[in-house]
Amino acid sequence: MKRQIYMEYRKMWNKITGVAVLAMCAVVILHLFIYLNLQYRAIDSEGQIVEGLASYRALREASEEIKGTMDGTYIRELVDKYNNSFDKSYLKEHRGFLGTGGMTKFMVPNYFINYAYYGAYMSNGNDKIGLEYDFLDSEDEFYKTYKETVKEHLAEVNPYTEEQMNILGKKVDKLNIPYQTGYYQGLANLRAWFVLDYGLIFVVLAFALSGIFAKDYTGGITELTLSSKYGRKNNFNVRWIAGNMFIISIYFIFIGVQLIVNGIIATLDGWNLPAQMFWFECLHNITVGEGILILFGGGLLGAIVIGNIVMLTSIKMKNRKVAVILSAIVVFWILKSKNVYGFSKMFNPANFISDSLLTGYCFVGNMALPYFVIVIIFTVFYVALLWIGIKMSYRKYYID
Amino acid sequence: MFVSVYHTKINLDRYIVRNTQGIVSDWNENLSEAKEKSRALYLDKDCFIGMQNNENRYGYLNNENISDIISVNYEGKTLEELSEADMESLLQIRSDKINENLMMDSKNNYTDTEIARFMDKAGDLSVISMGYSEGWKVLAENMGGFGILLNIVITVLILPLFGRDSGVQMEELVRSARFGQKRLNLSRILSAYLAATVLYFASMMIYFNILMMPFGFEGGNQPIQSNARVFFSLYNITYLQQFMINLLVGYLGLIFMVSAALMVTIILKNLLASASLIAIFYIMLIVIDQLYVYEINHWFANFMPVHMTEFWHFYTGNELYRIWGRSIPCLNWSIIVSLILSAIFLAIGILVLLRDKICRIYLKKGSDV
Repeated sequence: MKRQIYMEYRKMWNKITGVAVLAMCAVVILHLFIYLNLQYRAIDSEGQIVEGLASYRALREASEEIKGTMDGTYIRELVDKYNNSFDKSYLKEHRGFLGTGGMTKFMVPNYFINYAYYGAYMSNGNDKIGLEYDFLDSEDEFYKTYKETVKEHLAEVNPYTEEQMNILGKKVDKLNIPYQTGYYQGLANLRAWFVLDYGLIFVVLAFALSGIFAKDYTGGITELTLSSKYGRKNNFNVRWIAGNMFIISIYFIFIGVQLIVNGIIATLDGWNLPAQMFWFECLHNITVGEGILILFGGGLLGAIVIGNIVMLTSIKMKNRKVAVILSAIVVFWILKSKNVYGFSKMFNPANFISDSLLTGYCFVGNMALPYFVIVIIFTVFYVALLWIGIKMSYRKYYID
Repeated sequence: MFVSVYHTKINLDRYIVRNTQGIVSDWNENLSEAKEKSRALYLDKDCFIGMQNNENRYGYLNNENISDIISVNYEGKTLEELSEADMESLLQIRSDKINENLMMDSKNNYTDTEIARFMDKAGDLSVISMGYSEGWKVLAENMGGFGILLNIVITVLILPLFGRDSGVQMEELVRSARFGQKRLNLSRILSAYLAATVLYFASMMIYFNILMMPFGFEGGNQPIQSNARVFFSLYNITYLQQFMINLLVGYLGLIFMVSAALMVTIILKNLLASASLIAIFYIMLIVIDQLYVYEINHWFANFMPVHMTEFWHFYTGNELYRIWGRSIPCLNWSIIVSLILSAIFLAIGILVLLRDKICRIYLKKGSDV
């Protein structure tokens, strides 16, 4: 059986897959190099504006000054440093700097502090980086304000009941403060471009997997396959397993390209900073790196669901070209409807990579299930349903 | 047809006037009233005073259109806040605003000569007629999205011309027939362009008729500046001219994609491999379109079908290309570059076909020896 799985898996790496995967990698690399070069600039440690790809290394170097643990002493020193910095006077003169791809070493700690004031209305921008707040007078006061803001934010954007908010409030109180701060821009780029380019994986799967159960394709189902001793049962399982292995391979290629290119451009430093530096309202005591790994996990689950949908269309249509068109329509519809409002967006596999994985909760009685657990449950449910659909069709599969 | 009907329905819904109690007037009443009350209506002082004295003088829809223009021209002011001097200097204020925007544009960095030329065009507009033209406005707003859809569908339809179907294995047989080389290639290439042309114009005509029918075809001779969205446009053209330009630009975007699809299928010789490449190319263009970066748009996306079918930027962006000492408007240069790229793709495709033919001849000669 292992040999069969390998052979079926090997069959999927054909010209179509090769072209699609190469095109996907080319687009990802082009996007990263072009946009990260054109859109961004940073203020370096000497007060110079560095543009393009070099801006990330300059920012990383400048951020050495603000690395540390955000306790009372750090906060007081930060306020002093920022108020006397070149960055502050530059931002005062160039009001649109931070909102148009500009970066400063003060972004990470200052945005975190400003979140404690703005909460759900926090965004990037020159007007959200100042440090004139009374609650910065003491460490306790700051973190107390921060925790209250997190609670208000969660209550404002989610339909939690009072009891549910109490449960979440206890999680807020257990957050491991004070937090470390530093540089993580490479990881921020990685997350942003992973989300933006995620749909490419779906397109590759729509083309590459559409022939897996097609009868008009030499690598699909033939009379020989169906009439051999294990053709009906064994071969179906083998193809399904090989299909899922293929999905995982494509996904890892995508992630690999993202990691390598983002690592080269802006490094992957900041992996061990607390997740709250990036996802302000995250209640898990994890690092930014662990958070990104959870997003990657969600992405993999979404890809597996889509891949199984393509396999189902392949076996239903039995025609490769029709399966591609139908899969492309389904993929388009899934991507188009990922931004709908309300609870229903949680069911969409394209949203298995959203930040809600780390900040959202679903309540079952008094148990707060993080959204990434819900995503695992959804995936198991979807894949089981799709597997049953594929299996039932395979039992009745006829060439003519 | 389905898309045309769907677009028509959602656009007609926008003309239903509602309040907290429900529907005040449906789209038919609204549009009929606008048609009747917009006869000999010009955007001038008399019009503003007429509206100030009688709120319903020109009907709900015309009031809304005029209020939108007042808002964009007079920096958010309402009709009631306009002084007589403001009303009299409508076009002067428009010109000043255009001048200010041109001077402040840090991306294009216009020279004084260019700004002077733009301001001459701005000054050519001496009167703005506000005759009924809702159908044309809706058409201008929606034909871009329809154009993209057409582009995708037609490109998919012409892929099989050169894309081999591995299940059938007829390519070698076909190629060895008497007319299986030059004549077949020429026929396929011509078929692709002819089919694309016929499908595009037929679909656009159907779309035009279905969309415009409920609104009526009146207003094609009204200036496009009667639409607040293009009030500051320096193209002194009518809606009909705008439609013709959009139709042409959309067609050239399609020709670009047909040429690219032909080149890709000739090189890859595989239908689905070519289709996957085209699909990923489209997604790349869509992502680029969503992330506005001036340099990428200026040097790349402006010549690509997705951004070309977002027609608005041609009329309001005032982008220029400085080529060999001349300042060429974005609309003109996009057309030129798109045509050049289409020709290059076609030339590459033909060269690959010729190379394949030469390879076959050498193979045949080799086997003969």
